[in-house]
Amino acid sequence: MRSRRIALALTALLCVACSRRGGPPAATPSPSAPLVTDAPPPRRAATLLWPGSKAEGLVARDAEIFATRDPADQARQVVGLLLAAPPDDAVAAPLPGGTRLLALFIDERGTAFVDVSREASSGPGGSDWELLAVHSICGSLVRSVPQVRRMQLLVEGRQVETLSGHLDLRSPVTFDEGLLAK
Amino acid sequence: MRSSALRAAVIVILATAAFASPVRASYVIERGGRSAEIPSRTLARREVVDLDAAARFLGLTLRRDRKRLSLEGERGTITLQIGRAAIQVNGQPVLLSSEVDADGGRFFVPVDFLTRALPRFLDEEVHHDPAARAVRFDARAGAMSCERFADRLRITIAVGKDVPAPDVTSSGNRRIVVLRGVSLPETAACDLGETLADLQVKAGRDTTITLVTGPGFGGLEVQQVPASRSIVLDVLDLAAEGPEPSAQDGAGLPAPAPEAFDTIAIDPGHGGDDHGARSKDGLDEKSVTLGVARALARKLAATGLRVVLTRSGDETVPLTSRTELANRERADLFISLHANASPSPDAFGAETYFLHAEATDDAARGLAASENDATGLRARGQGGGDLEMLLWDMAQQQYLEESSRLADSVQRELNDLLGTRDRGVKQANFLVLRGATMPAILVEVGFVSNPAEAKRLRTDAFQAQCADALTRAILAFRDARAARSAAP
Repeated sequence: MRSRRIALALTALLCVACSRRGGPPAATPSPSAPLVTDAPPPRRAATLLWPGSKAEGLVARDAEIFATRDPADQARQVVGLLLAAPPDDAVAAPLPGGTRLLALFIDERGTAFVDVSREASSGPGGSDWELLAVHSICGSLVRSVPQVRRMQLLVEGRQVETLSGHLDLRSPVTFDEGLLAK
Repeated sequence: MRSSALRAAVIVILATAAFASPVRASYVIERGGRSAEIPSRTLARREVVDLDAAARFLGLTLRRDRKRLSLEGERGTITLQIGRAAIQVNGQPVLLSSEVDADGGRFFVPVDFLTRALPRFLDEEVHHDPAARAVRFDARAGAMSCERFADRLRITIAVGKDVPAPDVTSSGNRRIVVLRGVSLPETAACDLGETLADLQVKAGRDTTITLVTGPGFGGLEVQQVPASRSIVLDVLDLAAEGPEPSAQDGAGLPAPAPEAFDTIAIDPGHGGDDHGARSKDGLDEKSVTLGVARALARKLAATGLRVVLTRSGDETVPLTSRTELANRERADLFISLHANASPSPDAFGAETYFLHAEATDDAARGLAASENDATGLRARGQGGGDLEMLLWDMAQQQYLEESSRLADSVQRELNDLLGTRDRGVKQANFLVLRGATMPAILVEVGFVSNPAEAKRLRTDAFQAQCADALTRAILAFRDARAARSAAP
């Protein structure tokens, strides 16, 4: 998570540097109209749903993402945080270590297509793991990005039947609130 | 200024009225020489017809249980749900072009209920004339149907042409009817009761129908009905005051069969390349599920039930093939056996799942979207396949209540066996349950990721105990179901 934040901060700095390069010397800004391009993107709250370490269901943790204009970019940040290390010991990573986000886009019906690398299919197996893994990502997206209503998980760019032999992934998944830890 | 505002207001009111107020009209249904006008109305630019009036015309009983509606008649049941476009015609899913509506205590269905659902239910051909707003039903040529009346069993054969009078001969307890020049492609399943012991149909260039009389046989009347180009065989019931049937007539008659419950499909989860979950010391889920499945198969067979295994060895079997096998074998229950895993080694206990209702709703929505996007389907070159798949996906919908009961029964027994905290009955969109046309559950007998449970799951003794618990649950479910059907 820390490395992700550092990466985002570096990106923001790079943007600022790019905006200053090349153009005519900027006039001295008036104190009432600061240069917007100089400000880092604002942040906003997100809710990540992690599998609980005691197999008790999905456990919510607060997080922050950059409030960028593109909802798909916000969704990428959410999945990126879930693929990084869990914030504390009471929650576990939804997908096996090494799983990468390959692509993510949101269609006009609010379906987030989340394409992950093949490591996603090499989890411990079992229906509990599979349900929590898929709904951790789906629920975090639905709760954190208002434009997302459901999720279609893809592995290496392809639709798969299941991750490990149980949950049907042939069509988009709607978040199941019943999986939240009681 | 004021007058133009007034004019605008009038235009708005008129336009609103034109779109919002229902336009009342009717549809004409013709069947068997009778016809009736079924009231229709246009709501939100789509025409819907009065379900109550259609049911009355067809002699069907309309029942309501909260949002669920059923039309019941001699040909079976049509099940509908207010607010849903997916209905079932004798268990087969049919998707209407729009949802079933309720308004003022009456129920409305889109016109394609008449043109798509009813022909399937009545097993008749439909002729739809949209310009005349008329729908006519005709018996299919070559189709045979059975109807039970108070004093007779009527077998009707729609020949669809002029044919010679049938030849009728008698030999012992057999009555043989030969229909010259009639090739009967479809036969009907008839409830023979005690009137007939058997009904055999041999089709070729001519069709030979053999009636084996039963103890309640009171005679046979054969008629040709020119108006409908059909032949009617009336198999009369024995009058109550008539003589006792001879020993020959009644010999070897089976008792009327109770509701069948004789085949259980057991699905040992994973297998072959797919080892499923794996414990730290190398115990594979696929061997636990096969061990429990084999023990369960032996125990169920010992009670007289027929068992179908989706795999009997360490084989790779696709998920959809497992359900298809159960459907083909007409299993009465489908039980998918699994062992669980969790990142937490502390997780333990059994869980029983049945399909999440939302999965079937999603399928219905997907089908509606597909039907509305026929171009997209054609572009993918697999329209029929997609539609077929989505229809099968909805198959489990009508069994959800029974699946839930079965899951309860299984979870109770497993809790008693394991003596652990109840992880409970759950619902999820598991692929292996989606196409099952019978009550279907997925059982997680324990966690291989829990060292103590993995140790137990490895042993033959514990696998046998699991099989015992599942057998008790299946028999308890069967008995409870029989008691429910016997209840008045």
